[in-house]
Amino acid sequence: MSLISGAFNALKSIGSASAQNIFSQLGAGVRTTAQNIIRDTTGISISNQGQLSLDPTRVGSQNRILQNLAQGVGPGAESIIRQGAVATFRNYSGGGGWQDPDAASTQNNSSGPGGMSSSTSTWRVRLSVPNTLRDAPTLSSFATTGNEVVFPFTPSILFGNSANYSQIQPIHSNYPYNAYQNSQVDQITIIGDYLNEFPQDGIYYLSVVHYLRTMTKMFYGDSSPKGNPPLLCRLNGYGPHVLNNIPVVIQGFTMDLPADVDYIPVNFMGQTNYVPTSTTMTVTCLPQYSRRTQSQFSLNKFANGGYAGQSEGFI
Amino acid sequence: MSVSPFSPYADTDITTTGYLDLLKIRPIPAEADDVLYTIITAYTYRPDLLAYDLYNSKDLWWVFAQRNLDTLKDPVFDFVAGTRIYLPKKKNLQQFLGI
Repeated sequence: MSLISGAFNALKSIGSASAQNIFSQLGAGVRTTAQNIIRDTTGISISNQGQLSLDPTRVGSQNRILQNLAQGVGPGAESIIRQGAVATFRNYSGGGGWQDPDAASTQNNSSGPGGMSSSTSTWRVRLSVPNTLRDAPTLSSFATTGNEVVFPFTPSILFGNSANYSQIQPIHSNYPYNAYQNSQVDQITIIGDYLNEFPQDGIYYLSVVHYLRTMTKMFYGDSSPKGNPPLLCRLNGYGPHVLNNIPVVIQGFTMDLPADVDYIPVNFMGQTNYVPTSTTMTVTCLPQYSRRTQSQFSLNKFANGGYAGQSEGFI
Repeated sequence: MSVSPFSPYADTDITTTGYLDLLKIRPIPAEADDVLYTIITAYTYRPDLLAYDLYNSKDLWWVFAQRNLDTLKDPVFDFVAGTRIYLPKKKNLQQFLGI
């Protein structure tokens, strides 16, 4: 029993199709127990219909396969942990269970330049892909994460607001007067790690690099629409009261290609590239509110939390 | 006489007198998606069982030693519980070995 539990704890975050495939290779007796454990621990319903009956000559093999599953090794030496790693790019529902990434993207509307709004079921930090770029084959990886660039591991984020005052210091006074000038939302710095353990991770990482390079360039020369500045995107993360649909431009990004990590080959766009197995990406964003939306800003509404979860993310 | 494509001797020539010629190694290259695996007690000295469970063919017992040349000097007697080896994927084996 504990053996089966251990095996299927490793299956907690895989999709139902993969679980079904592994499940179908077990004997009937083991399947019945496993079926209940999987349903209770992962919420995945496994069909027992039309499966193999227990073959006494394969009991030993099935026991060994279960132990292999506990190590994350499935049939054909496929890694079921790998599928768990893919799940890091999926959206996690606070109510329990992994969601289909497309399900979350359907909750987004197409308002605003980035075409994305905050979804309460997804709280990971992410940057939207503008509509203009969504058909780019280099950025097709983002279709699996709702057309948003996801930081797969919790990034460090630096952000803040400030109010600027100029000091008026009359002669022969003890205390200066602070004359208000303006307020501003400071630049937002996101520092995130990318661990590229498998080729799929590397493809996603290369898409992120390509996205950031694209987002820091203007439409120049033969571009269309010629003369436009770099595109705007939306920053979301941690729920509607933290980073909600903030319109940002990418001011810059830095990435390292360390010397002390391994590099793995990745087939990207039909060509082999080498990506580091561990790297850090730093992205600097500048909030960019249009004049029209600024004119509609209400401090009273802001104070009451009226902009949380709305399409225009005032912070 | 032909040798099974699952055999480690499939690429080795056969002399006119019917004996195996000098061994031609069938390499199992390292792939980025190979899985690191710790051999369990049930497989001690039994790479054929692991090959059967993973690839559905006991005849591929030798691929583990060929993939882990530094770890498994002896394909059978170094195959003991606790040893960490890389497992080549079945789809990769099908490509390498033409099976």
